[in-house]
Amino acid sequence: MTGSESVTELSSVPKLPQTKVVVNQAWCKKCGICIAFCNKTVLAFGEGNRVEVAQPEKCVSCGICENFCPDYAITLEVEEA
Amino acid sequence: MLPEIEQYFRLEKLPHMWCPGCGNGIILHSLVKAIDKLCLDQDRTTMVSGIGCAARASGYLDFDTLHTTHGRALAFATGVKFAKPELNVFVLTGDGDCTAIGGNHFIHAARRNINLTTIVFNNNIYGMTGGQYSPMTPNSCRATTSPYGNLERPFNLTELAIAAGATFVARTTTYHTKQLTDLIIEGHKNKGFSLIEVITHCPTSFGRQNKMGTPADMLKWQRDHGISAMRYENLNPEERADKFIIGVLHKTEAPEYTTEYQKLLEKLG
Amino acid sequence: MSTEPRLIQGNEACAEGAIYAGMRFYAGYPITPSTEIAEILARRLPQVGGKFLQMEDEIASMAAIIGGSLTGAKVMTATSGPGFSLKQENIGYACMAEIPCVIANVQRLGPSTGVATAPAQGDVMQARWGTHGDHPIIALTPSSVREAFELTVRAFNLAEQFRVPVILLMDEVVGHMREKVTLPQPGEFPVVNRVKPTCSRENYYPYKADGDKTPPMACFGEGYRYHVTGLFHDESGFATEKPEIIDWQLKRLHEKINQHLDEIITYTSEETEDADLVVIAYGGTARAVSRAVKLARQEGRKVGIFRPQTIWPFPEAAIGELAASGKKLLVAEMNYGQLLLEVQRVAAGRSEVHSCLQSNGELTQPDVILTKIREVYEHAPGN
Repeated sequence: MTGSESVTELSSVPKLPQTKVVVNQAWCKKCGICIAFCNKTVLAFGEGNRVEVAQPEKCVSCGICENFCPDYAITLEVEEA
Repeated sequence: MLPEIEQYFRLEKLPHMWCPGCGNGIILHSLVKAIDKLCLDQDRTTMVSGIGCAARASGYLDFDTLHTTHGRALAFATGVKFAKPELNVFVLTGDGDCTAIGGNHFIHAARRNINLTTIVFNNNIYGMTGGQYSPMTPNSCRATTSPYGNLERPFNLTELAIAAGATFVARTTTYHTKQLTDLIIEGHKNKGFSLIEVITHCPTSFGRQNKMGTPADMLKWQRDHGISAMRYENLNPEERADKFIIGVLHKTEAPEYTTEYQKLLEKLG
Repeated sequence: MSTEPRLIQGNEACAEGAIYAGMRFYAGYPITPSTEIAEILARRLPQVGGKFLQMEDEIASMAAIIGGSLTGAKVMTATSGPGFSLKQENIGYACMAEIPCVIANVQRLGPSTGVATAPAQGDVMQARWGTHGDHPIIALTPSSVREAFELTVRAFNLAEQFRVPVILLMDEVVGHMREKVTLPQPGEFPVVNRVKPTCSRENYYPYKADGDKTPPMACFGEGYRYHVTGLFHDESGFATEKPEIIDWQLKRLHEKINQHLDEIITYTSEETEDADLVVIAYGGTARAVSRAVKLARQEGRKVGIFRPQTIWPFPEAAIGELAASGKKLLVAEMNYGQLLLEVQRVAAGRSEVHSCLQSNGELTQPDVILTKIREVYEHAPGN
């Protein structure tokens, strides 16, 4: 195997679909797990510890927030192209 | 929640009754993902639970669900599975439910190697009754009934299961959600008694009494202390002291009880 | 099934009666003097395609049969006093979740381990009030080997009809006694099966009942996907703490039995019409009483015997009638006075209530009962 073969061409990586983080406030218990684990500080506590999507443009659709949310209150909704 | 897993929940029962940040919800999430990947028939899958926080899980899931008595989930589940072996039977139980009041049923279900997939939600404490120590509370930890620190030693549940005859034994945490899903899949595929111990966090009782921080801090603790067998091997005894192995710990083959009984019926019939 | 008469034990008759009734799932734990039921079923059930399971303890046995029943099987377990005590929590569960099942309790002498092989009737009140909380219970008590068969079939029929646990309250005498019996042929006795829902899953409410108060019961694995819990629950089966729903559920659990007392309660009464004294006895004791009554009649004393086959619900109306007629009542039982309390309650001072009680590990002998009959008979009323 040559060096160049082991390098993945960036263009060959399938792009993650553009998603939107949606918080179901009726189910959210404000535990803060999503905020603590979001690497991109997309989520933040707002007024009354309400979980807000503070910086949606930073989201990389990694899904950690949805995955860890113990209350199924977060959904990554695929945005229409 | 991913739309493709919504079908496995009784959505009208949500939000669930667990405390903010409780890991039980994460376990259910991983469980339904596993069921989805296994393509199990929802009509032929039964969830059996005992009493306690973990045991409330059955009510949120859209299957035939059986919320039983203190510690007896495995005994009820044994009846369901033995009577109708074609059903997929999962047992959802907590550390107190499974290892204290239900301890006898646990070792005997393992010994029989009956085809049940048992998921133990181990939060190291009796949560529902307000935070008393369980047989899985680590030594010296605080609980409302061990205000000076727990004098007892905890079970090593996975070793207990192996010694009792379980044919699939694994452990992971609520931090390792993908691994949890994979282990449930593998455990369910095992034709025999499968134990998946999930280290989960109880921020309200165990966390607060033992100064474990926020729910997120407790998840990070799991991330930092649950390690693979390979990594564990490379640690010196001092480094190992506060670590535990996650992954498949034991896998073997042995006659499964309902299958053996079926053979007997065929022989006599 | 053979039409030849066979010399069999009460415990064997119970096991055969269970198979006759369609029982195909047994889980139990060995305990004297009920063990033969398990041993016989371990051999017989696989021969008829049924399931036999020896569980790790009494509690697990009770749990396993409830699990089995939920899949649609007719189920039973058998035990004796110490095991009966252990099963109580899950018997309560079966009452609450309305799971048909039969529990044979071959009574031995207690309290505690007592005497394993000695007869007693000390579990009458435990059968009624053994679990926590208020609920009705059905308990049947046979006096002969043939009746052990018949009442076992009946126990299953009642369990299936009303979605309840039914207790077959045997005693060591009846369990271990051998008598010549010809077992009934299929079709000779009615066999009842539980009513299943016919509606769609969307319209199924597992605890919604019509006039007879017993809801249809779906099997696990048939697509109804419903929830079963020992917590108070509404028609949908999900937990509730609302007082008005708790009230509705608990009343319904009582009404489904109380509306059908005439169907549930059976008894025999012999020579009570002209009797001045009626002896009330059941199980093994009733056999000795029969003999004593016969001897008393030979002596010219007008004595009869009333023998409840259904001990719970208590045959209140029939005993009330006896009391109202002013006949003296004498309760003979192998305990320190359990059914006696019920007879006294129902008699309510309308007739004299006497007792012949023995709890020493031996079946009360006819002469002991006869002596008591003479004593009570000669006494002037009120003395």
